[in-house]
Amino acid sequence: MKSKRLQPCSFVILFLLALLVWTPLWMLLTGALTPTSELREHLSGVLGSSGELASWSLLPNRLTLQHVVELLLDTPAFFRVFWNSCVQVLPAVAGQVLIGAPAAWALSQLRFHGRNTVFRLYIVLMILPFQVTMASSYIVLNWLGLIDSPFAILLPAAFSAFPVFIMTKFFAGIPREMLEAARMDGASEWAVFFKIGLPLGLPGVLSAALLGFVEGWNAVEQPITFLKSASLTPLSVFLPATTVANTGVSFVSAVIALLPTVLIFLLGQQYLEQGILASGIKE
Amino acid sequence: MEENNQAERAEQPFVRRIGRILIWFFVAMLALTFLSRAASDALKAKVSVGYMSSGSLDLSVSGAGKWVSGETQFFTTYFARRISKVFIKPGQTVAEGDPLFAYDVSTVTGGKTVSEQKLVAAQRALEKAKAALAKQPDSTYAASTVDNAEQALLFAQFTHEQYVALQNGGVVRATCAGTVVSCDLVAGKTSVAGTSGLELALGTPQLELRIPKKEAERVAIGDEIVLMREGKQEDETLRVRSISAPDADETVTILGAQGDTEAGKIERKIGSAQDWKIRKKSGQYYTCIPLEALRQGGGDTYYVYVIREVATILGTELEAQKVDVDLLAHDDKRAAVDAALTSEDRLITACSKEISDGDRVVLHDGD
Repeated sequence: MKSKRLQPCSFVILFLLALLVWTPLWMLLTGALTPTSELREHLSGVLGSSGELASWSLLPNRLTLQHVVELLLDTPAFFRVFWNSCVQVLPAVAGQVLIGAPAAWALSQLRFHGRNTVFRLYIVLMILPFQVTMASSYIVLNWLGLIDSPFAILLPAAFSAFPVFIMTKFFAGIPREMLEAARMDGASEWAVFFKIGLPLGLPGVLSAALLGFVEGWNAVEQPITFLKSASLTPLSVFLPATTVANTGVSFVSAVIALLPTVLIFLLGQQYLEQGILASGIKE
Repeated sequence: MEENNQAERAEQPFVRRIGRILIWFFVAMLALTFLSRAASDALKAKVSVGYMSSGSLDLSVSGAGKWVSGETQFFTTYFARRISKVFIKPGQTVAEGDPLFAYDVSTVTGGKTVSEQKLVAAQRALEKAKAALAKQPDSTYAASTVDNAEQALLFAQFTHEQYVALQNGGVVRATCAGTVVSCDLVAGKTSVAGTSGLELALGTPQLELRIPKKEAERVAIGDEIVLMREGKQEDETLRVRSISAPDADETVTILGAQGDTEAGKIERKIGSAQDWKIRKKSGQYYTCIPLEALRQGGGDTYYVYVIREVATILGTELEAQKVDVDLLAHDDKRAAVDAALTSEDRLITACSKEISDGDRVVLHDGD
């Protein structure tokens, strides 16, 4: 298949649009290497009380690693926050796979009474925004004594409906003939699931895991609602707390917070695309 | 189909590289976590804190003093005779009637008539002086007359005792109780009439305290002096009887004499050392801080470091903030200051390294 050459006019338009998309990321990267005094000049208008507009230069007058060193060597609290995020996200993703994959397999491959109703219930739960279920979730978690513990974030995420929905779509795409042949050869349902279903549906599982990671890593509302102790706060909650005095450190921490998401995206780009296509959503 | 497979194969090294980068990212974050903690421990000062309170300061003065004799009387020999024996030595306490020394009586002649007449005359003079003092109790002259008469009587009694001794084997006995301060009589040598003899401290010994002028300013006549033994306070006390003017070394001599309590376990031997303490309390101060929290700037300026919480992007950090204070007074443990401090302010009392205003600090584990 031959690739089409872009018209110059289209190229310019697309290039300008790409620049627009890249601008915040460029500001983030250059801001992390800009001295505090220069950042203050640029941002005092919006971060102070003067009400003036912010300004930004394409490149800083002088590059500095001051904020990087300050964050990585002189701020142990940052690492506490970073590992809090890991502790709250990685087990949740593992839970989504362990719990969601069998559920998705059952919904896609097994025939039982009420299957469609359960699946519709999953869809309804999936499309409900967090703000709608927040109060009920809080009451249940409080009743279980899990408020202000990592489990308040972990458990609801592990039982999330979204990964089940994605994996159901992938498992449904596995040819039924292949599964029937395995059953006729004497394979049990578990054997069919583990030996045929999971390997063939692996893109779906990975896609759900990657989307679950990105969602959990960037989650703000759940930690704010269910966590009270500062010692449990994840990275996503701290990043918005920027002041004139710590703007540089804020930029560096944002870049570091961005790295796992970018790397995970690059790692499973093809699966993510398939997952997004399967779920029909765009974030 | 073949093109797709080729594209997938081309993507494999890239994905593996990204996977390795991701793993290294988390490994690096783990390493930096420990490094950051180590760097933080090394760079940030670890501090201990104390709090202000209101109260009074302990202005007690303490030290080691020396037992000295109080009022002394020099008793001289009346006769120029050979001394056969000396029963006393300096520092020894004697009671009335104790033997002091003995004359050689092998060639004694004469009687005691003259000394008896002197004794009677001295007694009459003393009674006359006491009568005069009774009429004019505030008269310094009358009081000194009584003192002189008492001394004359003591001297006459001792002279009489020596006459009596010559008639009764030569042993001269003490006519009053006291402590031997000095004695220049030597057995086997001849006494010099009216010159040689012994000095006796009358009454109980006094405690001599020598303290710096600044500390002496807290002491007043009549203050209680608590006697100490082996670092512990005893029930025995003295009273401050006199305070001298400062000498060239800016040292003041204070004399403590018998107070409200009787002499007890403590041996009051003249010349021996004695630990003591004068307890004093200041008035009430609103702001008293631990003395370790007080720092001296240039000259007479003082300041403290207070820990302030500063909200940063990654949570609350602790910062040392300099607060100027006026020093009002201090004791060994606390200082009374005039400053804008509250009872909730955490004052830095000790830190692992030198700090300055605005430095970030961490609390010691126990604080």
